[in-house]
Amino acid sequence: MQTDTLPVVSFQRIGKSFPGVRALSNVSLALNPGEIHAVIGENGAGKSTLMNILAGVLAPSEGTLMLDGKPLRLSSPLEVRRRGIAVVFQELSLCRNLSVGENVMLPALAEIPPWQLIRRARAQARSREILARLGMDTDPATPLRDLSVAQMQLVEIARALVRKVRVLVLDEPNSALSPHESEHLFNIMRQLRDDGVAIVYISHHLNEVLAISDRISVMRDGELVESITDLSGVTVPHLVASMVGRDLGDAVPYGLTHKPAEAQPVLSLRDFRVPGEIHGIDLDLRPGEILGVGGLPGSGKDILAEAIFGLCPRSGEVTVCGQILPAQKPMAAIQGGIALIPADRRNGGALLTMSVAQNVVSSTLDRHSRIGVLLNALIGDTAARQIRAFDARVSGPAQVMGTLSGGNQQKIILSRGIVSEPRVLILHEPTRGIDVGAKAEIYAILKRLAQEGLAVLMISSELPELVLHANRVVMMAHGTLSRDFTGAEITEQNLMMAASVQPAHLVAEGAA
Amino acid sequence: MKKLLGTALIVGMVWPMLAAAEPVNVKDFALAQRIADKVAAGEELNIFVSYHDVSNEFAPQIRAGVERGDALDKVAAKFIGPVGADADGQINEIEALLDTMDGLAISSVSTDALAPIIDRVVDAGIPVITYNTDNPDSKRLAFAGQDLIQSGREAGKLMCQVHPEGKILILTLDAAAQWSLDRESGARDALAADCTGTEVVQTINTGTDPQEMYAAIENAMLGNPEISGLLSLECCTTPAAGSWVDRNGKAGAVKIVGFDLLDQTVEFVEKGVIQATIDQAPEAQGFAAVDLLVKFLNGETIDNVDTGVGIYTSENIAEVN
Amino acid sequence: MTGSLAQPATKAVKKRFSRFGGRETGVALALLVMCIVLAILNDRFLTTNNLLNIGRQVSLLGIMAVGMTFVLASGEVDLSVGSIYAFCGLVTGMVIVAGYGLFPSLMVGILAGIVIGIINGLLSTYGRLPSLIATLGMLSMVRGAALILTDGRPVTVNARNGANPDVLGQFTFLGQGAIAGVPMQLVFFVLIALAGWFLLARTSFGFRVLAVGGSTKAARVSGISVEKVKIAAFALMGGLAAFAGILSIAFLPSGQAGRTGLGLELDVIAATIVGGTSLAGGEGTIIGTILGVLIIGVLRNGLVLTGVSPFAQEFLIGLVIVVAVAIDRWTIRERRV
Repeated sequence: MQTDTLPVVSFQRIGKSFPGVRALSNVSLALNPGEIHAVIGENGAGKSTLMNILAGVLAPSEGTLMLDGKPLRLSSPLEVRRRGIAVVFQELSLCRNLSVGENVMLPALAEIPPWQLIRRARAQARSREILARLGMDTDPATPLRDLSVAQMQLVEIARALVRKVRVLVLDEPNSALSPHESEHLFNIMRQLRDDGVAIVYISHHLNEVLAISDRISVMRDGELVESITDLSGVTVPHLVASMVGRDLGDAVPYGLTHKPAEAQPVLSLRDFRVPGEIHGIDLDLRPGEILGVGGLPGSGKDILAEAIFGLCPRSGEVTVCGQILPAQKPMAAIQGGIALIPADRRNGGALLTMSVAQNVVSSTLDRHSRIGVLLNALIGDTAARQIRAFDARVSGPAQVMGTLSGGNQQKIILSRGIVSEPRVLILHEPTRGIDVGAKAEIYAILKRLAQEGLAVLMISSELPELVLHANRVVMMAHGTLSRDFTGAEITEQNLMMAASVQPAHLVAEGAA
Repeated sequence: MKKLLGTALIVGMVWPMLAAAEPVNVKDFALAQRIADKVAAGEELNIFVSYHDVSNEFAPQIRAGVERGDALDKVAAKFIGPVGADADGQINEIEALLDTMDGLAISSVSTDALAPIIDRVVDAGIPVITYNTDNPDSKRLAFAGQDLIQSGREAGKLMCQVHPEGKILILTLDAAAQWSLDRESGARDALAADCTGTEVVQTINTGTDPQEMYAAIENAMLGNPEISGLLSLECCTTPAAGSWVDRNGKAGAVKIVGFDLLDQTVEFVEKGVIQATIDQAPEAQGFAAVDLLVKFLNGETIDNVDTGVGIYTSENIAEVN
Repeated sequence: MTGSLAQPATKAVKKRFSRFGGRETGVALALLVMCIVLAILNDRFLTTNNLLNIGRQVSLLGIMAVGMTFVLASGEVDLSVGSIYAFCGLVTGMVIVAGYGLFPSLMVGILAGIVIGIINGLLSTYGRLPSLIATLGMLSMVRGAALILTDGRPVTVNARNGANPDVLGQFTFLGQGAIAGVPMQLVFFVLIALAGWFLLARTSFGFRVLAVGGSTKAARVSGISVEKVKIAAFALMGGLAAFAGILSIAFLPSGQAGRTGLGLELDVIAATIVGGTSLAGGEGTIIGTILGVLIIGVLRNGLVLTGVSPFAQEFLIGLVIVVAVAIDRWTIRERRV
């Protein structure tokens, strides 16, 4: 590890303003070769803006970006890439219609002038090499659409390694990776670091950040709070406090202590099936409980929420408060008392082009209109009340949803569900891509709602989430349900075992 | 003024009036053997009359003429062509029917685009004549219809008679089309030659939709308030010009000369809003197309046929049914 | 000229922009600049007479663009509107010529438009055809139906052809009449634009249209029936296209199936997009659409007034469409990052 060399890239007093918003102010940061440099902060802290400036997507309003001690003029993303800076964004930018190999080689292929032939065999061999370096033995000819999201994420990273890379920015690179795959990625990061690459690692997983980083920079509200080089003695709570600017302390709840009512179930599934995904499950959900549902990708858990709600075909019986729900009628599900918080905010949950207020009331239009005419005053009231109740940080009910951070979007989507006065709240990956502060707030909200008597079904890929925030957990595997886990039985080991009941190698992986 | 007009009526409906050209006979034509056999056996002859846009307002009238031809003894005449002026569509259809046709009459929307297919049909031993719109560069045998430059010239002369002095706008729904360019040059020639007191200020390209046409005329008249003559080159801007003049109380003050006998045009001629209109006798063109081919196949020597221009003013408009 | 929008705004100003749509500001400025230039170039441009003319000339386009705003905002597109306009106008004309009264004649035409719109909607939702394809097919089918129905002959609505003179008077009043000097077509356009604005901005239907266009999935999660909303948008479009077609034949009491409304769909879509409605759906305002319609109308009028050659006019209209939309998109980009 070398730390005494000159920085490859240094941000000098960088500032960036958008109309009405100050996204960055006075940020100075150096990226050294041979160093894994973690940049952490809540969503909206300015990490993405900073990386967009590095990637050449945005120009700074103030300050200079230096490359090898020389000012880097405003340049295009391509130019930046030519200088050896690669940024792998969290959102995948792959072409589903092309093969894996073509996706890996795409930036390189795109630079070949039109009068030159593409040497396919060579490109394919090269892509195979790079994929192998990332531990993927996928045939480069495989169509990309056949890959899992985790594999796609690796393809995205592989693409950055095609050219000689001096600075590699990884934005949440392992959000869809299994622990095993993540560990492999970390090994690659270490190997690249030892080759002298400056690595910027952006992540919400603070344990991993502590484990792998050589330096940690914390951002908050567009400013650099601290840049820690001596990591001995630094703990997760310390980082969290630094990120949120306040001591979360008890705000992070550990385990649920309250007892759900021994009442009749409000939601019952009987012989519930989704063709090819779920093969006949029975499930009861009681008021006041938070029932966690986990499982590996492909276990059927990812279709469960939408199937119950009526967004995709299913068979079997769904009963809400004694009433049988018709299949594929979302409006009937809402009226029956179900609210759904889907997994993918950008591509499904939120109406990004519409205002916060419109998002809050979108499932309760009938209540917010009279003979079809919207009652704007009432909508404003409802929105303002919900914004307050969920402590969503927005400029006002008129703010456009797409401009909010993930955590605040999720709060607004939650409030939309609550406005419909549900008996059952179904959440799918409720905290994916959300920063720690907002996560804790969302857990607290769920706990409060459950205590008030709501039945919560929380479907999640994150085991700690299930372990810490559910009264009862069931795991899905191959379209079927495991037994219930309650109380002290809810441990990561137990759940992982239940999730990987059949193929033996999954058990081994889960234990790793 | 009506007296002046009387002298313009001498052209009248003259049909058929033979123009000077080279007469042709089937003896000098390499007629396909299958057609020769059919003629010899006295079988029914399949005549196709291809029109460049079967959805425009003339199509029904030309079709009526073709149907009159179809009623002739031992003749099966069919009216074909694309919906919307479309040279490719017209060519493709002819190619598809090539083996079944014993004679082809064609009105081509684009001279250059259709000359090759006409030549191919002729080379296949099938007689081809043109009608309505000529294609003089092709190997067609004869033309039946109205000469476009000549009809434009007639319109110019009429304009000159009703409006010897003042500023004129020329109206057309497609300023770039060959027929429009021909008529426009004929009209401009006649005005320049006979009517030095007039000045053509602008050619207005109105587009084909009736609303668009009216709006274009309205804008042009507002931009040029000194205009006292409107010369329309086709069916459709004629009544639109009439509507504008009528609604703005300019009847008589702004003179209109146009083409064809659409219902509204007839009404406006009766009311004195439109001073004169030139009819192209589309039904006669459709019939002449079939008739020429049948005569040719039966051994008669044929030549160009001028289906004539009919000039209508308030004096003779009552003759229109 | 739009650079000022990108400046950090005070809260009050920002609020005003978000309420009255900062989106329209770019188009409004473009229109204003055009009007100033034309007023300088030609002293007839700003006369009451000419302004009323422009108003009347854009009315039918505008009525259809109001409908198109709903269709585009819902994430679909309707290419068949020019054909619906022709078909329904001609049908109404034929019914009047056949001697029927005003009300039944109008109803036949408008209902025909709504039915065609519903067919468009059914094909594009339950039929799972992209609306581009479904309505492209309908563009041809509906025009074909108009040609078959009229046998390609022009339809002229006059007493000689059999129209009841009283009915004829009422019918032509709809197209040619005026109230206090304001042409009826413009009166209808203003009424329809107001109703359209109310429907899109102030009702739950408008909300649903925007939600469906913004994100089908999110709309479904909110319990909105995506299919019904889209079908309703198409039906509204069909009805408005039919009404515009009827006004057209009432104005110039003649139409022809091969010619009437030919290519009109492109003008309608262009005007709507110039007005800031997103082709991708989810965004659109009636105020923007009206501005877009006016830009095209003012341009057509102004180019003729200033004596620009017909071929150059074609070029300039295309140029203005591209420039107007480009300015719009660039300013949005600035605002969104």
